[in-house]
Amino acid sequence: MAPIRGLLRAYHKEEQFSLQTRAPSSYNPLYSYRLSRGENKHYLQQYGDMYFLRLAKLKPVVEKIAEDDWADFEIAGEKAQRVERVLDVRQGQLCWVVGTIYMDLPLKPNILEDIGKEHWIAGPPPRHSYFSADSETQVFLEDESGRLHLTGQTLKNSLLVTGVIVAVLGTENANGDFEVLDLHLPELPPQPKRWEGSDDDEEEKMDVDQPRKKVALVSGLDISGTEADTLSISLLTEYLLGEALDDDDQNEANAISRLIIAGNSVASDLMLNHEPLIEDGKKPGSRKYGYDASAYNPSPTEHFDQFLAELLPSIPITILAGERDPANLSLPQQPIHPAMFPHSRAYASANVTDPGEEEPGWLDSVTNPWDGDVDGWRFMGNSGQPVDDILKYIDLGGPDGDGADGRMEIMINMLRWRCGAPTAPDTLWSYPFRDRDQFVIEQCPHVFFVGNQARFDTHVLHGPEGQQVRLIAVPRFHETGELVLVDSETLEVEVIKFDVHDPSQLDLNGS
Amino acid sequence: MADDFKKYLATEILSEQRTLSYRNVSRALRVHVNAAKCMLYDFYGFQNEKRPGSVYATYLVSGVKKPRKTVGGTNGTTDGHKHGDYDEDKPIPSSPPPFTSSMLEPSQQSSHAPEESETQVPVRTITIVREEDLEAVKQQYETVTSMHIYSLSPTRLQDLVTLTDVSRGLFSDRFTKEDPLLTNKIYGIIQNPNVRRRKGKKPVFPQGPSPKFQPVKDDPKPPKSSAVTTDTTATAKPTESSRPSSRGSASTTGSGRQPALKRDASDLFKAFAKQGQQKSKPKPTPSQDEDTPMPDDDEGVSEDEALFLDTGTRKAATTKKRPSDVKKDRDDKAAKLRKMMESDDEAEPAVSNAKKAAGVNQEPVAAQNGTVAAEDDEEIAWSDSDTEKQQQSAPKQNASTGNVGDELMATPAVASASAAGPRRRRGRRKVMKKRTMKDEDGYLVTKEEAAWESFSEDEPEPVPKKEAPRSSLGSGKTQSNSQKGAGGKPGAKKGGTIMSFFGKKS
Repeated sequence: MAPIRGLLRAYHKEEQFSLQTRAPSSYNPLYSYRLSRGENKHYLQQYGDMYFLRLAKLKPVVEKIAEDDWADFEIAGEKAQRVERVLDVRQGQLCWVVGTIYMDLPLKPNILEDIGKEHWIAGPPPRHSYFSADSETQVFLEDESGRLHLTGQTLKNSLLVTGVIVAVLGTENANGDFEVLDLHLPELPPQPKRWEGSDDDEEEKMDVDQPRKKVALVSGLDISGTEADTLSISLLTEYLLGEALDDDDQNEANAISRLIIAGNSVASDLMLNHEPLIEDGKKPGSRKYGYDASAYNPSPTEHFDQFLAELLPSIPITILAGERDPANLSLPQQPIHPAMFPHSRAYASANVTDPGEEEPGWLDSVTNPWDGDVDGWRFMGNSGQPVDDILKYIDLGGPDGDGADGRMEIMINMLRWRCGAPTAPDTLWSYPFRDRDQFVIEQCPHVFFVGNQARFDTHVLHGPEGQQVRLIAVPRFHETGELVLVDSETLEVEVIKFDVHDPSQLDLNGS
Repeated sequence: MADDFKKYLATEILSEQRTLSYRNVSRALRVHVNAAKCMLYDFYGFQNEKRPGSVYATYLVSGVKKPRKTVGGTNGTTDGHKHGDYDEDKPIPSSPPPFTSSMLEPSQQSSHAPEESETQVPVRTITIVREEDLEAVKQQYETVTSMHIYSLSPTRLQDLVTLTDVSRGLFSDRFTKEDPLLTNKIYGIIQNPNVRRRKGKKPVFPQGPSPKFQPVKDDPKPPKSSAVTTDTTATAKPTESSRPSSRGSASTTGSGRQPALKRDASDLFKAFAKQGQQKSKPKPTPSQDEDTPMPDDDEGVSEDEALFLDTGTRKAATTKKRPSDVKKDRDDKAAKLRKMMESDDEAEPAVSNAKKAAGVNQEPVAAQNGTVAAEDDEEIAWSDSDTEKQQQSAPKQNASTGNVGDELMATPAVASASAAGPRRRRGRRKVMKKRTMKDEDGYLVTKEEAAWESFSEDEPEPVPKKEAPRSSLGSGKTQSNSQKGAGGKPGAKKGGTIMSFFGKKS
């Protein structure tokens, strides 16, 4: 290894340093997950509508796939027949039917139970997993007519969660259970071509004489404001700004045309501030109704704002709301309001209510989940909640449902289910959509990223119609120090890891 | 500037004992970051040659790390930790396949199982490291693409995290004071020609300053002008302002104007009269002045209506009070606010007030309230209920004044003269007052205490109804008046009114 002198050299006054210019970013966000604001946002409608909408949307798709595959399916001379409704299934008849999966898990929260046990007085403790090895998981197939109890080995081999639309083939046995022999998913939706989303000057964009560009993905910055742990975030800033390191690496940083922050930029301080101090023996002087402003710790957002403000002059940023970000909690999470960012909001679009009208902001605060075209590719992503919630249904997430395994499977399956958040509205809080289920994926993205995952992971998924999707599990930066770069020509992925080499700290932590 | 960087670094690091990162240097000397890195190196060598160990460095290293096995072999235990971390990340790509294959079994058509052949994702690592660990860390790297001094400090950094504060300081010291779009070029930050910022810098707050503060600002001014004029303006404003706050009264005020005129006028007079007595008698001129300005005021007010929600009471108060009282007033407000927080029945008085307002005999009430308020102003900060009353009453007064227009304006002078005249009586009565003050610990203490206050009325009522009596209306109306008038003590009043109601019937 040749010794690298690089910048370990004396300073010369005459030396000129070249000026770096960042690669431009072609960016066209879609606003599919924005909810209407104010008066037009209603919460009175029933959540059940979402399931019907989803079924109505996906049923034809699954039916077609099933039809193709099972048309000639025969067992002992009996042909499989298509049954329109779940209730029409006759005992002993070989048939197939389309419906929505409902999983009944032993530990799944149940509103009736909560009310019965008066859990609503004190909120029930959050559950890490609904799965329990002790008792049986029951799987049902339902549609608007009724419900079928599914059994069979096939189920055990399939990854299914509530809210997924499937076609099942089998017979109803003597117990009234439906023995599943085979099962079909909606599979990947059609995929737009690259640049399809952008309307103008395609020629110019296709033009490849620019150096290759990259899109950076990061999530889980977890800026806390209480812990002094943000050195790696400073390093991240310096790297993205092209300040750190030597020419080679600075040139690399040049190529990064956009930063996408996939949620949880701010750490939750809930635990710290949870208990108000009543030890004084005094009755608190004034009763607080609602929000207690004195308990608010502004420093996380302040620091986050600084982080953004430093980067923005150089790099455009798309920021998704996340579970712990100052946005609403139910999916789809609406954009973090730029008022949270006093310094950086100068770069945001001034039109908060209807951003589609104008050019997207340089700092684009977007929904979670979000989709949009970046450098021609359709990006779709969320901040991790759908995946985390699905993990609670299956025996993959480890004891606390927080493990790293299985997340890639879930991401693959979310696309095959054509549903970005199948467990909403059952166990994942969601807005009660009335006209259409927004979580149904109608166009297959080219890049599907999920933020706040236990570790980095990536995979290329090939669909039956030639779709090709780059799946990326974006790790939590706070824990891994990893930034993911996606090449915007090849969609190749690489990782930049920021590392604070502090042996003494490590020893202390015993890690 | 760049020439004497050594001097700068010596001052900062050696004398001031500061930790400097290359970014600090770049900002301070306004040089390219790469130059700053070289400067740090230069200085580091220079100083440590003079006096070894006088300057302590941290390095930033980037490159591709070796695959873990080799690293494990070469490194000491401390590095092992690092590699442990790194290691965990490694096996990821391979883990999914076994799983998927089993999971996806049912749908046979397309094999979605991740390809095993997935190329390893390149990982570049950027490490910040203390000088003593530099060599060890370098050993972990297969290739090092960059390496430079990150920071210099006078002593060994106990905790690298302190470097965060260095960059934070940079933000507050530098970043916020400069336009990054202009200065970033100097520092060698990657430029982006496409950057867009909002055109209008800071959007103007749509509603302007919150109405609450307005009065405070305005208050100092009114006293300057002649007492009477201020009074009229003050009263005029409240009218409008309080209207939006109480819907019921708002609608009624409109209708109530005409009948109220007479009585209201007298109320107004009372107020003036008081003043007149307190102060040196108002000169004749002010009253003349009034005549003309009044109508204008009224119009102006209506425009401003929306702006002054709260101001009504304040204004009325302040006009009679000196600035010192304004403060009292404010305290009162605070107390009131606090009270609202404390008591759930806070709604009651408001309701009762609203009822009053909406009720048949609004005008009398208003009138009464107006007087009460006016009286209270003088020596005592208002109790909560008083303030509320006032809000109610203020509109009435104003409404009436508005209609009366010039006539009214002219009257105050007369009124002051006739304050003790045949039509009214003055007297004293016992009233429970809420006093709020700051005790020595800085807490606001609210006490209820009986106080004698002077009052003047058109027609005195029987004693039990404390405040009821001053309506100029006929006896038939007095009853209703009493209901209204009781505003001061909602509870007592209520009981009284109901009783009286039944009593009448039977």
